[in-house]
Amino acid sequence: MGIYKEEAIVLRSMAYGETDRILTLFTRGAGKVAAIAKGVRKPSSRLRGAVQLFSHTHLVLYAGRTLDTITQGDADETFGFIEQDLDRLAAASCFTELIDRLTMDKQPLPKLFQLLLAALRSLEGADPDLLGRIFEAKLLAALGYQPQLDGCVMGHHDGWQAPASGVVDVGPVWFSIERGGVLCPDCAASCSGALPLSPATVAVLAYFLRTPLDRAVRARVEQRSRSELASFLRSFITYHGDVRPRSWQFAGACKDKAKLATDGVLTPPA
Amino acid sequence: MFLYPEPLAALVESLRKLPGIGPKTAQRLALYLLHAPAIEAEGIAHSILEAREKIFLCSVCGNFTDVDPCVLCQDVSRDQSLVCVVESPRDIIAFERTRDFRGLYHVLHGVLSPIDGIGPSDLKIAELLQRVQGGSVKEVILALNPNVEGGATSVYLSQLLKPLNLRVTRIAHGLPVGGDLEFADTATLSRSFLGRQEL
Repeated sequence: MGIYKEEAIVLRSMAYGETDRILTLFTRGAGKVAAIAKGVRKPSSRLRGAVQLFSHTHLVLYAGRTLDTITQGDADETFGFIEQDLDRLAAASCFTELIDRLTMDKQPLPKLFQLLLAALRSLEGADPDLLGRIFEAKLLAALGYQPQLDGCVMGHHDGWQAPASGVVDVGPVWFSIERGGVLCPDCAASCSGALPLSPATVAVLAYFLRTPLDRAVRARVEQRSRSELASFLRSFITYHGDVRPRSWQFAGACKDKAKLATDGVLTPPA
Repeated sequence: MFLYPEPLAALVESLRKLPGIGPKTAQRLALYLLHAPAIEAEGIAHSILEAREKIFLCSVCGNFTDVDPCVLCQDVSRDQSLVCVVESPRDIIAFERTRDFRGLYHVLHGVLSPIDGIGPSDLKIAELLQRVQGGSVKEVILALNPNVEGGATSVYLSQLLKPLNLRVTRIAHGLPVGGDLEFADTATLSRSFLGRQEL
């Protein structure tokens, strides 16, 4: 491969040796790439600004056996607003950690690159919590794990549809995380571990899956559906992706101000 | 297949645990220690044990020390109203080399990093809040690395410290001494404009 140019987003950055950093990059054309940025921790480094965490950047790399070497770089967008707010930092970390842990090295996934870029751009104005749910839903779809919401996932009850949101007294919609879709009442009764979801939550998930991200972030979603969707998507990702990102815990702690206070952090000791 | 004798294999394995040391370097260091005069190898072993035994964190600032409080915290000639918050003890050495700062330090031992699972309770933040409420501290200078995690930690700390009626400042961001404007990145140039000073 020799020397190549790529548009990339920095997913992870780890100090290495005296002055280097090892980066995990998500590139538009080559997928996830591990690369070394030499001397980048020195103030005089020309590369330093181009390889900051979460940056959208254009790089020139030299392919190596295990690590590629970054030789030139120019940052397009650095998303400086992320460091101004812990909720946004937590959300951006969740996006990048999920992509890092759910994708294989050097597997081109240009649609996923576009999704991550759109999510980072939207983070400035959008609700980080809601954007997280939209990102998770679209990430599952892009990786081939899209939850099936049309018809019973068991497939032998033709014509059955999950009840629409807003219908009174329809009861919950049953969902099988293991099988990856909704269940008709008959199948739900015989399926162990079927999860009850409110029709409104299923409708929100369906809306997120079919609507472009920049429009979906404008949706107004009730708190109950938000909580249910967050819990559902995390269970789904943990089961099918076999990952439990550390950023989730941080994001939870940011929301749980009471927990931070008991840790002696938010409420200064008397 | 020939394998190292057990004590040598154990030494290689131990050295491999050090940061930045791979299997080949560990092997080279282990063989060096066996070739070196016994007194040298024993000296290294003794230094490691002594450092582990005698060095601990200062109860005031969190820096590594062999006396409590550390020599910097005990120094009455330093300005007790200024506390400079740094990420690691290495940063204290960097600031001390400048000879320009004569206040006190506080070491956080890390910065907020969601991806690495480091949250506020993993840092020495509660200790900082307790320390600055004594009344003698007037200004807290946040001197964390100018990257995303350092920036987020600074913003978070300033939100906690400002309600305590303290002056909270951050060290300047901008162009390095001896650097060329032509090669400066956009983020650094923008910050250098924001932090411009009147002459």
